[in-house]
Amino acid sequence: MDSKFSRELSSGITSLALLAVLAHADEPMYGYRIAKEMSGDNGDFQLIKQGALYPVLKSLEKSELLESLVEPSVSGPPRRYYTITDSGRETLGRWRILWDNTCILINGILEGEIHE
Amino acid sequence: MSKHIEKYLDELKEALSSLDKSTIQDALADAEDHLTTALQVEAAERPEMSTAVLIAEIIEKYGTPEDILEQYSDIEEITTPIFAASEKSPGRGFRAFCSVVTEPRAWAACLYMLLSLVTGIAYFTLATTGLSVSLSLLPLIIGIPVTMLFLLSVRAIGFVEGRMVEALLGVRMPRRAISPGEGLGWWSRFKIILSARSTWTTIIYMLLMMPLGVVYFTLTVTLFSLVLSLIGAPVIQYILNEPILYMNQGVWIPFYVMPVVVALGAMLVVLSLHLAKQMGKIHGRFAKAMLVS
Repeated sequence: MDSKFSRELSSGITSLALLAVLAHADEPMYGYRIAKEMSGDNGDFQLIKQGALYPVLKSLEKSELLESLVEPSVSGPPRRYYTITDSGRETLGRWRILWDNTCILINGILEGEIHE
Repeated sequence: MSKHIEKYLDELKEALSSLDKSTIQDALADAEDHLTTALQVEAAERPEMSTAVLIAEIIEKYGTPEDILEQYSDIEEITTPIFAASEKSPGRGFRAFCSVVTEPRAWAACLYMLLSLVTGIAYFTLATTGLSVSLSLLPLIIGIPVTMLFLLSVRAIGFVEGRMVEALLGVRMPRRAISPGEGLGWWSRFKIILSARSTWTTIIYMLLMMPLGVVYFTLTVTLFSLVLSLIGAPVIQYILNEPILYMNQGVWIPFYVMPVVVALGAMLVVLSLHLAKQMGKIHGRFAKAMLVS
């Protein structure tokens, strides 16, 4: 039950977090760096499996919120570097507001303020 | 590639077996990319750790094959190929039969069939030239890089053709260009590509595309010129007031036959589009069998 809830919870947040990570990045990032960035400093807690990022990256790119470029790496396979597009930044702005409002609402409900 | 990664990829392939072939190929490409890059980065940062420990940690974070199965089956539900979504459940009756005229997929199939003459000739030329040049140069040292180049171009074309098939025929095809054995030495890559079944089926597909392209193109052009003349002839005769049908001498289409001729033309459009749609479906299945490993 826990894993089902956490999967459902993470499905929308993943896109939001990916856009945010890329919006803060100064340079294009490849998949593994994004994944590391997403796991944060809190070592043990992991909301999303890293394997879930790639299909989301692909679908964000398809909706033109991200762009990507493949570049050869010094050692090992070539890497796909992602950058956020202008429309990605706009979308992030809107989603941010949605997220903030959701947080306020849900936290309120969780603390039982609504009924008082 | 590390043994551990290979083992994980095998398990992943097994776990994903219920999904579409192309989705499996994409998921495997993503996993391979991630795991090799992760291992490379982590090994450089923490050289004191053993590869086995690092890999276990990386795979733990990446997710079990079952996690990946859930993720990719979720995402596939929302990203179906463009025209696959436009396929309505086939209604009954004459109106439903004619509604094919409004189906983007049927028109896209016509476009594919028209283009297939050009692509077919190009594929055939490349495949025959590549095969004969590679084979005849093989006894010399230079033959091996030439063969490698040819096989790499075959794989690239297989991917591009797949994208075209997905865009125009609505069959889900791989969305990641994968190059087997990437990161390995070129000799082992050469061996992997040479022994991959899909390399050879792609070459056969390229050879077959020429006769198929000729048939598709001819059929499309013939049917559509027939449609145009059936609908156009009565109209033009009416406007110009001159016979435009010639059999030794000008033949007038009688006035009362005109609506029948035009209606025949309209009916033929509907039939041709149904034919194009069906042929597109069959060709899509064929392309999938040949181009996806």
